[in-house]
Amino acid sequence: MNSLDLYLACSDMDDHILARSEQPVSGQRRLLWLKWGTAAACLCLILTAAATLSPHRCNGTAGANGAELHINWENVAVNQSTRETADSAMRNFDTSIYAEEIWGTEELLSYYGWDFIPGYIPEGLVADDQDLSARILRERETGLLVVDYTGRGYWSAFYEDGSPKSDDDLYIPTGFTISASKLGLFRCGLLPVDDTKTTDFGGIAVTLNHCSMPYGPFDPTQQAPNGLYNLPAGYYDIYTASFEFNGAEYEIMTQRLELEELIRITASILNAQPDQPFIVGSNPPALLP
Amino acid sequence: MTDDQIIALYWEKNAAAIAESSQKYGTYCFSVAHNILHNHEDAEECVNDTWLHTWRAIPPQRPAHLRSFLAKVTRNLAINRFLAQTSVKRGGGQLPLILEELADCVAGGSDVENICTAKELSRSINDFVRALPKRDGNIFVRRYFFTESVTEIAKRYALTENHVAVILTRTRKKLKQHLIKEGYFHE
Repeated sequence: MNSLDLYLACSDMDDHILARSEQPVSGQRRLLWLKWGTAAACLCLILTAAATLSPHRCNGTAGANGAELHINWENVAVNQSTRETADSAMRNFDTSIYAEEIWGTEELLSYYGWDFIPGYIPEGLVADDQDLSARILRERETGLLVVDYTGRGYWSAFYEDGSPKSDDDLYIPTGFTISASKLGLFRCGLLPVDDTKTTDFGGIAVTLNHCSMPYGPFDPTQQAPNGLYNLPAGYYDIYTASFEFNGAEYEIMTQRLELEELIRITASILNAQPDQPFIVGSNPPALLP
Repeated sequence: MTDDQIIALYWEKNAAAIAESSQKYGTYCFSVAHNILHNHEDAEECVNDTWLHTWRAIPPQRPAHLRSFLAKVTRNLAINRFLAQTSVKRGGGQLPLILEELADCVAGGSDVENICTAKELSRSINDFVRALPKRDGNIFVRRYFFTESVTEIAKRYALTENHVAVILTRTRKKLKQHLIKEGYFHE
């Protein structure tokens, strides 16, 4: 059997499958990723205390977007975060002073220079079927941009309306978001503090943060070790990578993914030469200036 | 005119069946043929052959979905024409690219004892597509049945070309695993 046999075997495709593929696709733009991405990020609006990941793993080579990726784990610094209550309210913009615009794929491609599809996407995750879009705010009097926040989410499963859902009993969706702003304005996210360390990604300083988030059901008869809430059923991982790229600030946030997946995603975005090996951690961690 | 009315014309052996088919589905069949043949004249001839074959096939056949039926007839005729021209290696268009992509799915050893009939393989592929998420299944069909380019598919589903390429790569990997699981190949 060869590829032609396989192609010919597709000739007898079921009529219903063919008809389904011809149905028009709704072009309605939605900003669901923003809603969810913000909600997820707000869950861990936290203070960070720098701590370098103990080098318990071996150095390794892994593929990302077909490129060879070398991770020097001794030089990978992950700032360990503790959950902290914080004011996560969104900034309110008076619409009499600021005008709202909805940007679509074309405007955002022109503004950010790429489509927010990384070269590496962990197996089992897909972007929802919406276009890249953003709610932009501009000062009416001067035309100055004041909000340019955008991004895209990749998740393992979705509800009918396109919002991410969990595909297991944990009720916590698995996936990641990529957010960007040239103005450096994120609605909420991890707040860098003193002694935050960065990791070298092919010459670009990337701040990696981690926090453990509790998930329910919570036992009302016992307290969690930190005394802040009832004892959870368990904890899941949130990792973030923050960096500057092509004149914009980026934050990638993973939920229920391994650190190595975050590194692969980030490397596939920052690797300008996918045919060349990419090295993470070629230099020791540095303090964030 | 509805599909049922056109099919009735074929059954009556009324020549208007061809004119009505051509009016309603001429452009559609042309695009199916052109995606494969990448040649205007060849695609037009192929569409004309489609009406002739449909004329011969109905009756005795009575297709439940005329549009899909015509697409399949056109596709098969276009493939035959393409192969007859022995242009698989030197021809333009999407088909050489698609065959190259699908070669990944059949890479590895073929289990000779379990070589199936084309019919069984078709059934297996239908099962595979049904089990895919709806959008991924649709994209697979647009690429490997309708032979559409990645650009056309991206436009149809309001996705970027890069995104479509990622979905197709992942789906081909899944197809390979599916075929291995079903015993068509071994790794």
